Amino acid sequence: MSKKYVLIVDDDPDLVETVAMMLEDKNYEVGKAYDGVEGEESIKERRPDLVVLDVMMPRKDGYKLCAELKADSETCDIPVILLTAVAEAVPTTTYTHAQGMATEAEDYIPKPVDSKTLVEAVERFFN
Amino acid sequence: MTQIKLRGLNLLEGGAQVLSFYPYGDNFLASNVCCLMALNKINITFLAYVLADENTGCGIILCTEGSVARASAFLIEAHSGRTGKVTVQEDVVTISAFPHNQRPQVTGGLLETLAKKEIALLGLASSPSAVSSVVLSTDKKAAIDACFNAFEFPAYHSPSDWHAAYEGKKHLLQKIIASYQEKVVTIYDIVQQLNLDLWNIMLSAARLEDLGAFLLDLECQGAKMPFVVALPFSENNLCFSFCFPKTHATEIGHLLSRHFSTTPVSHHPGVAALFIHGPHFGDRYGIAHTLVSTLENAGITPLAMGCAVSSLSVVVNDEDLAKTVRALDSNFQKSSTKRA
Repeated sequence: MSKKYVLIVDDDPDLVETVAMMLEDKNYEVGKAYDGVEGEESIKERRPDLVVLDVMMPRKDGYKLCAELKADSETCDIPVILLTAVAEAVPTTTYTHAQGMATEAEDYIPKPVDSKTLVEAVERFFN
Repeated sequence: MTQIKLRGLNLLEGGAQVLSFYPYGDNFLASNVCCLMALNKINITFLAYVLADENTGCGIILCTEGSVARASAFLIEAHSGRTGKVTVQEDVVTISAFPHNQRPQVTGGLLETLAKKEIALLGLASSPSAVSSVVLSTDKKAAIDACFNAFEFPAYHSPSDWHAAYEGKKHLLQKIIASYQEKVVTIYDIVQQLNLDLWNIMLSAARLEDLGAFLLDLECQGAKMPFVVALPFSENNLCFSFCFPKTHATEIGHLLSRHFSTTPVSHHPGVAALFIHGPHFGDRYGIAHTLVSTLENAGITPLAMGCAVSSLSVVVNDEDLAKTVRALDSNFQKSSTKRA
C-alpha cells in the first residue's frame, strides 16, 4: 500500500522538521513548505492526502490558504489540520479560535501542541 | 562547487547581543546568566555557549530585544563578580538559513560567503533545522545578498524578492512575541544523537574562509555535522565548537591539520548531542533557564549549547547522557524521546 502523503506548512523551520520526523516515524510521506504561497504551490504540484497548516505565516496566512483550498472544487476535500497559537492562549495575537473554525478546516489544534496529540489527529483521518 | 538549494531565510531584527566570559570551571556562567534573564522576564532570542579549555575559559553570548540589552549586561555584570567580563553589542540581527539537514556545506558556505564580503560574524548556532548567524544590522543587506551568492532559494529569485516577502513577516514577528508562560515547558520532542566527537578551534576572523573550506571538504567525505556554535572570545578571535560522528575522527584530524596546521584544536571524543525540539524558544522568557537549571540540578556540565530558532541543543559527555535525558524528561513536558 502506498504511503499517505502529508504536507506540513509552517514558517518555523524547526517545527516543520519536528513534525516531519514524527510523521515519518509513523510511515507517512512528508512534504514541507515554509509559507502560505509555497504551501499553495506545493499543493498544486502534488495533491496531499492531508495538510498540517500553521496560521501565522508570511506572504499568505494559513486561514487564507485554508479558505482558498475549501473554496476550490479541486482541493475542497483535502483535509486540513490548522495548527497555531491563537488569542485564547496567546493574548498578543489577533487570530482567534472562531476564525479558525470559520475556515472549515477539519481539525484545529492550538499551539503549543503535544506531539502525540498531533500524530493522533493526523492518524484519525486515515484510520 | 554548485550552489546548495535551501528553502528559506528568516531574519530577526531589533536585537542586541550580550557577551560574557569566565574562567574555566566558573559555574556562575551557565546557571546565573540564564536565571537572571528569566527572573527579570527578559526574552532570549539566541544563545551560544562554549566551555573551551583551561586557558581560554568559557563564554556565553545571548541576544535580546535591543531595548533591554544594557540592563541585561548590567544585571550580569553586577552578579558576576571580578572574574567575569561582560560586553554589549547593540544593533544586531539574526539570520537563519534552513534547512541545513546536518550538511557541513551549509555552514561552510555561509562562513565563506560572509568572509568574502568581509562581514563580521558575531555569533553562530545551529538548531535542528537551521543555521543562525548574528551580524551587525548595518551588515544586514550585505549578509542577505551574501546568502543569495552561496545558496539557491527556489521560492525567491533574488534578494529583492526575499525582501518583498519579508516585509509582511517583519510585522508578524512583532506580533507573535508571545506572553503565555507554562508551568512546565511544552516541547515536541527530545532527540538524541550519539557517538559524536566535539571539536573546538579558535580562529581569527581572517581564517573564516578557511574554516568554510574545511567544512566544504568534509561535505565531500559525506560527514554530517549535527551541531555547531561559535562566539567571539576576543576582539578578533572566534571559538568554533562543532560535532561530527566519531567515525569521521581520523579524516577530520587530517583535514584540520591540512587547513590549520599551526592552530591549536581541542578534540573531545565521546559526546552526545540532545536536541529539544519546539519549546518556542525565542518567543518567551525562561526557556534557556529551564534547560540550564535542569542540567545544573542534575550535576551535569554542558560542553556546548546553542539555542536558535525555536529549539535548544546541548552537548554532554557520553557518560552523562542517561542522567541528562532523565533530568530533561522531568522538566520538559513531552510525549516521547527518540534516538536518531
